[in-house]
Amino acid sequence: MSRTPTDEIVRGYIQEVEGYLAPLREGIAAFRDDPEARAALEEVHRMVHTIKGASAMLDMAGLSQMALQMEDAVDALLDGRLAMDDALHDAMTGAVDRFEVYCRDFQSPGVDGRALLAETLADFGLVLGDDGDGRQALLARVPEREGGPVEAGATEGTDDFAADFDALLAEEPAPDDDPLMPDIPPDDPPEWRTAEAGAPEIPPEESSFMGPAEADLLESFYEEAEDHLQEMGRSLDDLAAGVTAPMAIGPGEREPLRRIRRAVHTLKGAAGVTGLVSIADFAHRFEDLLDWLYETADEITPEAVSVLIDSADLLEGIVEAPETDFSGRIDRLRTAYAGISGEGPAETAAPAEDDSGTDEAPPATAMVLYRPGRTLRVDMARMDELVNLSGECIIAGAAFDRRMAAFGEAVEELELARNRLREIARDMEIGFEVKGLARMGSAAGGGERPANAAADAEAFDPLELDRYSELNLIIRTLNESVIDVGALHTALAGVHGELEGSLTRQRVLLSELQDKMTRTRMTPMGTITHRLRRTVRDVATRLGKSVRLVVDGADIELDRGIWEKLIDPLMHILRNAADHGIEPPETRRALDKPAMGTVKLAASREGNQVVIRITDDGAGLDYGAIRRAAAGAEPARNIDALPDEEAAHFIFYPGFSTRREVSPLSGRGVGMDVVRENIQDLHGAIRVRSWRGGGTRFTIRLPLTLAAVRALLFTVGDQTYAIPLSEVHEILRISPDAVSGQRGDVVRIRDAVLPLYDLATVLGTVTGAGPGAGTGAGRPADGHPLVIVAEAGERRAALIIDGLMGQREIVIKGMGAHLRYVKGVSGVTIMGDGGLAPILNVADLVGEEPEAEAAPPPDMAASAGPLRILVVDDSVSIRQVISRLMSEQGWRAETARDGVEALDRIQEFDPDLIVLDIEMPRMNGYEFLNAVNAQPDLREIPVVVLTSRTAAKHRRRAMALGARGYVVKPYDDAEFIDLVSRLTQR
Amino acid sequence: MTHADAAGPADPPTLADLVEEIDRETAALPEADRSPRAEPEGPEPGRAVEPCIRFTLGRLLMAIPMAASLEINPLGRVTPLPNLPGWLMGVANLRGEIVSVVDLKAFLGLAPAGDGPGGRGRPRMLILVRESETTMGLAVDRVAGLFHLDRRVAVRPSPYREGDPEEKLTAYIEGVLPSDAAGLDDERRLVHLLDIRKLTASPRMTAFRAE
Repeated sequence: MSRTPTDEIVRGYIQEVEGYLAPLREGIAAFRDDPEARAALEEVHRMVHTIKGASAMLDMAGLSQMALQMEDAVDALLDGRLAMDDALHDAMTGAVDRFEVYCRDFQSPGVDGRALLAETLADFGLVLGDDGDGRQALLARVPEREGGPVEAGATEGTDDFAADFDALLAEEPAPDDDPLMPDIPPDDPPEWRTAEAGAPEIPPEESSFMGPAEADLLESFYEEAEDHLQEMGRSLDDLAAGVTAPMAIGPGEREPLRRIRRAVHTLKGAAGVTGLVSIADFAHRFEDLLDWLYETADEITPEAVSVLIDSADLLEGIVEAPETDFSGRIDRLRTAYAGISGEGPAETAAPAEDDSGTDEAPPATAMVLYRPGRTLRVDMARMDELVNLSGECIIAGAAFDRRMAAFGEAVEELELARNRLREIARDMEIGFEVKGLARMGSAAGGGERPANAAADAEAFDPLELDRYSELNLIIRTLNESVIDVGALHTALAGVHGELEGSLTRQRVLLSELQDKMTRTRMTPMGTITHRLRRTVRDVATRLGKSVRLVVDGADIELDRGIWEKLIDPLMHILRNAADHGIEPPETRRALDKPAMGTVKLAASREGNQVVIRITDDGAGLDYGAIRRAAAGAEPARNIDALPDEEAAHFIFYPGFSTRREVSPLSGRGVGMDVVRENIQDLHGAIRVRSWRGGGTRFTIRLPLTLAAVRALLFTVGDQTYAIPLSEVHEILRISPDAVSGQRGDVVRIRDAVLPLYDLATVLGTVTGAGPGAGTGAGRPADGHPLVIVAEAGERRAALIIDGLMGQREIVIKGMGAHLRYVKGVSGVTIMGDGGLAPILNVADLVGEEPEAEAAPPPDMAASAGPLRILVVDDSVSIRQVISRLMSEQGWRAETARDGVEALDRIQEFDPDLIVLDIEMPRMNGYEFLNAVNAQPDLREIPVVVLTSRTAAKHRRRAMALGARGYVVKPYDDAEFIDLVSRLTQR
Repeated sequence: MTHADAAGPADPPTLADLVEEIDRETAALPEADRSPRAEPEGPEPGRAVEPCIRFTLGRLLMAIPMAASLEINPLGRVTPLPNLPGWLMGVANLRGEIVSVVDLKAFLGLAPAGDGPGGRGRPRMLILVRESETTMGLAVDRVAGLFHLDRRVAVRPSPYREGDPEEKLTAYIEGVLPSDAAGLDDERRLVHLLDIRKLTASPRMTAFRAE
């Protein structure tokens, strides 16, 4: 056992304390040198206070007590009751030294906490005054040996830990008795509570304390708490409206009281389990008052109601900010409670965490790091609007892209036009000058020219002549225009570039928005499986069958609304599976099947669809009965000639039933047609496939509507297609040499041999033999076809395409109300120009249909997903350690604290194996084994006993009660795993 | 801008455009359609009349109740999808809504499928129909006006029997109307009243639902 949670947490904590050592020493030194340096001393106080509180939570009593001594001294210094002198300084630095020793040795080899504390007490005793009794009492609280190797610390220490904690709880609220804390006012909050609830100074790196599981736990607690608080508020409003003067408690008051009590009680329990001790503690006191009001009191006064309201507010305050110190208000309210119920201050009430909170509590440091997430409930319709709008934005953006491209082209055109214009201008200029020169030359060279030309030549210099000719003026204007156009082009190009930039940013934001919007609505299938489980269990129990539901892919996410709409169809199919499908146990045994039937609910994501398969290992569809019933319903058709698969579709016909008698569960003939309708409403498709005697499988395919994906766009023929980028492995050109196979349908790409498909053929875009339309891979003229290597289900496939268009964010749309399922197409997307591009589902298009496999469903035990282990042990550490060991194997572990809880959990969790402790409260291991044996459907679950009892008689007794394995602590990880695997045949 | 965008969805036609278009088509109809107007035949009070749309499939005159149709557009760009029967031309984008396009002529076996886009026999108009949650576009040759159908007298059973080229029609029509009942003068022609429910609920059409 190398890593245990406790171990890690303790190690992290020790590092934290070690980080405090240097600042502590500095702080002490600073105060000694400068008695005015209160800030330094306050810092010391804060650190010591933290150490004291957290150590107590972590079962490090010695450290906690030493820190307490130190804190008292610092308190006295801060109050001015003491002055810093050498003795005190030595005592304090000595204490810090002992902190160090404690930290160094705690994990290995272990420390003598009592000795260290004794030294500390002695040191401070010299300074603060001392009485031997108090010292002895303190010492007795600290075990002689603390920490040490983990086996001892994590397993055996746990019970001590709880005991110590109880001791702390019992002692702390009466600080006056402590001779070392003489001046603390009596209404001061119990120190440990503020310590555990409020240590905001924990350095941020300690967040490693809080694993994702704890974070989840807290998150769900806060979600739940909000409901309870709201309920409480509503009921209090009712109560406050009714109670305007002291009055007898009637049903009108009792009902809101009951609701408040229930909410507080549930909140208390949830907080206790989550480890939020401060909440559980106050809720407990609050509940006491409510109990009294509800059960004992005859009269209720407006004052009492206002106290209730205050309490509810305070509870809400604690829930929202557990790190805040509410002790003053808590105490005031407790006094008020006492006034109402007429009892003394409720010291008697043992805090709730004694039985549930403490030993479950994650370390104090975890809870204060969590800031409760604020949640807001929004109407689904509003969310839909938002999601649709963000989808529309993306479509509109695509249109904008096209306009931008056109703009870009126009700007380029403009440059070309300018260049052309410049050419013309230059040509004209040159042409004219040449002409002018030629004319001049001829004038100079002979007298053939008319006189007026010669006169012109005489009047003007040829260059001057240029300047004044009309043509020359035009050329000059032209040149100016060219420059103007050039400037315009530059300006436009600049604008275009800027727009491109903004657009790109906009695109990024939009896709992020879309992503987040879509994700807000997604929930995993796990959120509905417990209801499905209950359905299967109910049906099985009622029919005397034993059926288990195996869930695979509980993490597959779908829109929350889709799950809600899906739950009825799923329940119906599961009920049918348990009723029609799974045979009674006797029949199953006779057929050599395991007596317990298995229904498997598996969700997976395939391309742009979520596929849910519900498979049972029952008898399969009764085709005979279906044909008979179908023949009755449709006499005109020759039902007998239909292949089984087509006949199976009759079960989706309205009013179709093969059952002669109507049972409460099925046989009414309403059902599968409604199932199909519901699924079609979700734009999904359902199919059924069955194996005689081997079971039935329903396959539901749901498109991921509204989802935006990045997709690769390409052309085949004239048509644009898309494939989600996540399914594209690579794009390359292949050499004809790489293509082999009889029909040119295999290609070697590097080391992999992949099936090769010509998409033009697969998609049927080439019907006739046109130029370039051949068969197989021989199509492209250049002989190096462009190929997309895409994921097609389990394997990859190479697809020949014609051209690439690049990648883009696309919004997946369905193919309309009519076409719900087209083989190989998972939807279409609207392009910027309004055209449509089909989104291909490669696996469906070219892959083997998973449903087409003729063999019966694979052995379900082998494919039943992760092993499910139930760990029953009263020690939290054992539960955590085993759970961690199990999850390291990729298995799922659930825990129960004793036999009673385990029996509850079994129903819910349906484990493949149970790890069982012998000694447990309420119901011990032997009793549990007895209880399990009494239930036939539970008897099949193998049980491994894990105990520290080594005597052979225990082993014999456990085995006699049906345990399949007996492991003595400490055990060897590998052997234990091996045993579990063997017993579950994994 | 190299795309042959011309056929792309123009602005949605207004009602006025539509009526005009229908009128034009009516006027352009071959010899038989000299009927002065469809409208003047309008409903007389107290008669069970139902407005219907007349359209052509090749030589045949068809009609559907106006109540079953959502809108009529020129047939724009149709995107073919793989693995569809020939009579399913593909999907079209009608202002953001995706609808399937059924080549009605091919579906009813009146012409071989796959005449190809822009081909001689390519349908020109798209009638969007809805029946019990299923929306689909019926691609037809021409829309040939409106008329008011008197339910009590007009409809006669399908005259076709096995072996006729129009045999398949029988399964999908309510019956036939003499042309005068359909607001036409020409006695010799029959107007086939399409049964949208039978059409949309037929197994061939619904094969893409459960499948």
